[in-house]
Amino acid sequence: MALVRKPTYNITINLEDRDKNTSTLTFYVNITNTIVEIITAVENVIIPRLIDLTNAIVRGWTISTSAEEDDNVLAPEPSDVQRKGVFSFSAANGASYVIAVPSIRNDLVVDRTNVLDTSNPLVSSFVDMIVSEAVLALVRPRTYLGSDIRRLEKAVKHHRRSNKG
Amino acid sequence: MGNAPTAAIKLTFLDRDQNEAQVNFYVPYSTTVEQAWAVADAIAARVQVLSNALLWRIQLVWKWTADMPGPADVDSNVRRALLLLVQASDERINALLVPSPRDSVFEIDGRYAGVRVDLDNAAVSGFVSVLELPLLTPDGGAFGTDIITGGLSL
Repeated sequence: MALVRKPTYNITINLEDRDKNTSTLTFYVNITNTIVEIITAVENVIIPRLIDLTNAIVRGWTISTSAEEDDNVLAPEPSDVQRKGVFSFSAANGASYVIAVPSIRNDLVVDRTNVLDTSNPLVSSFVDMIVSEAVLALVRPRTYLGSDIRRLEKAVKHHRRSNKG
Repeated sequence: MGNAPTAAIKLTFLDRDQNEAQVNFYVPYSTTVEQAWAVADAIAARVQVLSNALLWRIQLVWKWTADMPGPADVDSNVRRALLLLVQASDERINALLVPSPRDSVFEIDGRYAGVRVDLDNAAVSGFVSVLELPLLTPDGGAFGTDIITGGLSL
């Protein structure tokens, strides 16, 4: 059981026509390129040559790469990704930031409640990783807008719909 | 183009019934790929112990959005596409679909006018510079640089 990194970066260009219909075009380039090299290629080569071919407009683009499980393994029988561990944090800009962990383990929930046991070492370790500078020395997670995540406000078990679920 | 303020680390989990769910984390846009992988692995390890689903994919995403895009050409239609067939050095043929092609990239005379790609068109031949980056196939093979033919795809 191992996550195997893909040998490519995906460059996905988002195009839009006059009627606001959208479509995408994906290119694959070698993983040995740096992000800066790819940005340069997208801005100086791909987009200029692409708009010579298409009369749609470029609305945006993404660079991504991934690692995927390469073995045909099954999740344990009690797993259910709609059973979420919902952690609500407050951020430095006053916004809230929610992390919903899929298929939260039932033994991390306080009995007779839907509250996650924040005194459990696994839960507290996760929360510390989000709010403490000390855990992830390189980079600490932020909100989507880049704001610092300050404090855990609430941690509960919720059932929420998921893709294909 | 403006970049998003953060790069995304997306963890996708599968349960026993093959339902999937994603949880996203964000790190500063300036985070390098190496740093992002290190953080993603650390986050994944701490999330996995909270869950009994299977972590089956980690994705790193950097995103850009056009600031003030003007309207697209009045004839633009992303339901139409230009199919380009490209031959690699191992003689495998790979395909690329470019949405909403300009009319000028197709032949203008003969029975395939408006349908078959004009390989002599400057925009078509100029696209070779993209293929020569070089592009790869999703599994890391050579995509090729030789546009052998193409046409309108509806």
